[in-house]
Amino acid sequence: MDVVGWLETVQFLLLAVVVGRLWRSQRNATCNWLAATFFTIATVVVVGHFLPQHPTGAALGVVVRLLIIAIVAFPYLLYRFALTFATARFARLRRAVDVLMLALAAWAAALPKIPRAGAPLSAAFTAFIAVVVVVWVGLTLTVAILMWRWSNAQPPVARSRMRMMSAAAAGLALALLTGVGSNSAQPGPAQLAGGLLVLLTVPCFLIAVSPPGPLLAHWRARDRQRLLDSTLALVKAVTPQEVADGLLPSLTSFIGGSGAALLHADRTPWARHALTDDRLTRLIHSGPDDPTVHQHLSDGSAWVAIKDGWMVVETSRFTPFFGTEDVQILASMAAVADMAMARIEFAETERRHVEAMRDFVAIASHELRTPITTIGGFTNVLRRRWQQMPDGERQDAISAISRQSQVLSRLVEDLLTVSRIDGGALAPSPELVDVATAVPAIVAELGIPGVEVRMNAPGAILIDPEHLRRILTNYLRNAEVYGAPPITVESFQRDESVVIQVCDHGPGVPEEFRPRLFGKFARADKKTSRAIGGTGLGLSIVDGLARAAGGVASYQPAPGGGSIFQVTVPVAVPAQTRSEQAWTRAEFSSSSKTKQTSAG
Amino acid sequence: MDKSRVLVIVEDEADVRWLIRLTLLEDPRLEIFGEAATARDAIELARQGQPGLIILDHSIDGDIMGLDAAPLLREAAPEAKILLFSAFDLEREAAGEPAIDEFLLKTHIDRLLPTVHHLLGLPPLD
Repeated sequence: MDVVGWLETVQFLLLAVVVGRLWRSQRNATCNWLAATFFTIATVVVVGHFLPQHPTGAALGVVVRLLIIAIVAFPYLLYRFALTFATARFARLRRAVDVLMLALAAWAAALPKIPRAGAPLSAAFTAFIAVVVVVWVGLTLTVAILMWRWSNAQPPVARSRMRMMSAAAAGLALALLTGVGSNSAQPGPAQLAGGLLVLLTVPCFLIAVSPPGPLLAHWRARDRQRLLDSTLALVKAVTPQEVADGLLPSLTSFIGGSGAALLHADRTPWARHALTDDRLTRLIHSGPDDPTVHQHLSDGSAWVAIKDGWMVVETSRFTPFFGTEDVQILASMAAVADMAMARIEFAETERRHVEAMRDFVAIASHELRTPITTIGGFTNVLRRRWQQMPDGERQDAISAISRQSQVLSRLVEDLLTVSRIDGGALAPSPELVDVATAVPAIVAELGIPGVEVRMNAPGAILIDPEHLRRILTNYLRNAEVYGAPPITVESFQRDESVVIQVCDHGPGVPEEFRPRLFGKFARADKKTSRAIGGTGLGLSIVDGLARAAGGVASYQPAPGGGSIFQVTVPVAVPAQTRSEQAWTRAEFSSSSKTKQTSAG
Repeated sequence: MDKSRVLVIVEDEADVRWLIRLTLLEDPRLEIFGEAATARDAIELARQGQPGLIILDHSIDGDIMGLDAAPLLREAAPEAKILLFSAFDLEREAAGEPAIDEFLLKTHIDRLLPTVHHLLGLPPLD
């Protein structure tokens, strides 16, 4: 076997292996036809090189005919591979070619005699060869032209791969034309030239199917600046919309798509580029069935998971095969977009925090100024007009000073508590608190008449007892002032938590006020709050104390009217364990007594 | 009675309202027509009394706050001066509201009477 022949064999085998691996990873029509194409030609080349130069015998005759049919089939298989990218308008042509190939295969099977190498060709065989050459050249050149034309609108990597495929197909046509007509047993210059052309085209097919890394980097170099510009635009974005505006047009351009969108986790769109409603809807329905998938490439779309959603590009029909490397850019852009969104989210959180602080300072200043003004004002009035004021009026002024001093004192205490909560400086002293005994004790201490207590949570919670007292006091005072009897205090277990709730039958909290119920200085009824010396911080403090115990404070309207204020805290010690502990203590106590008796 | 010296106090905090009254009544030239805790009551008082000056708090009871009530009070009593007297620092907001003639922070209550004199064009008390 000559060197060129050996090299051809090795190359086609290598191509078959590469295509085989691709086919194993992607079972679709394109890869099926590609695998059929190059498995067929690899088989022809390998078997052909090991066939004797003058095969004899019926079996070898059948093998030779099959090889001829395979050679005839090769350009047809390549053509069918190319048609997987074509639109429906090629259907009629495809059917015609199918019929032609069936006829050719039948003709090859029915050939009366295959001439030996170097022997003169019969007229029938010459006619057959001529038709095969015409069909082979026609089909391979068709593939070359189609691939070249389609490559024009593609991004750099896909465009380069498609043009390699085009060059390889054209090279095969030329190789056949160069080598045809020589039936000599010894290779002539034309055959050698044809063989060399084949040696050049096979690497082109290899590159088209699976380009090496350095070549990919070279092809992508042209896009490097655009990629950098897009990344910088994303990093500078200050709103989610700016991220979308900087990201989507670039993405669409990078992978040769026709539109892109950003979706929430539930696949509702929140930004789009160059997509009509219909195309957006089709795009959304093309997504992966498995929501845990991070990347998904389908016929017509490429999906990449981003934080809290998806980035989706409407791809060209060439992307699933020729654009897989371009799609990898999506993952990089997704990572940059995630960083930009995280930065924006952080900035927004900071802004909201600063705004909330500003509002808090403004309201706290207002709340402090009122009692301070009143105390100072009445003091000055008394000082100026002590002699002129009737005694009753003097007493009223002193009472006002006293009243406002208490308001100021409560306000300062509550502000300090809120500051400690917000600053993480609460320093709770948690203890194991038996809910069934602690809660009724607090209720009894408060002395609010008519409060019914129902304890149904047998476990203990880990909480600072003073915090529990403060939570219940705030809830019960609110129920007494804003609610109406009957007031009940209940506890029960829900999953791994204990819920303590205070219910009343008053008007409930107005719906518009509920979102800020546990906020600072939140007062639905300022007049009543002020009348009872409320500071507007009570529920905010309850919320902070509940969180300090690992729990949560909440409100829900009572069915039929009224309020249910709850605090839910994780169970620390279930009842059974407590019983075991009690038994253990009893046993220890008993054994201690026994030891003492023995020692005594 | 010279209506220019009649005042209406709009303040929802009872102790503060009394303090304002005591402070103003140190000047015998002034007369308090009425006191209100909500904007709606204040508008009615202003319409009836046509006072010379309305002392208006911002954080008052009801659904209309002082700043928003100012144009409505001006409409009810076109000749009345309006003094925004609040524990919120609303100097900038008051400057942007044409219906408000002056702003005074509540902690400066010692300046209340001189401010009233200034707005009503009265000489200070001896």
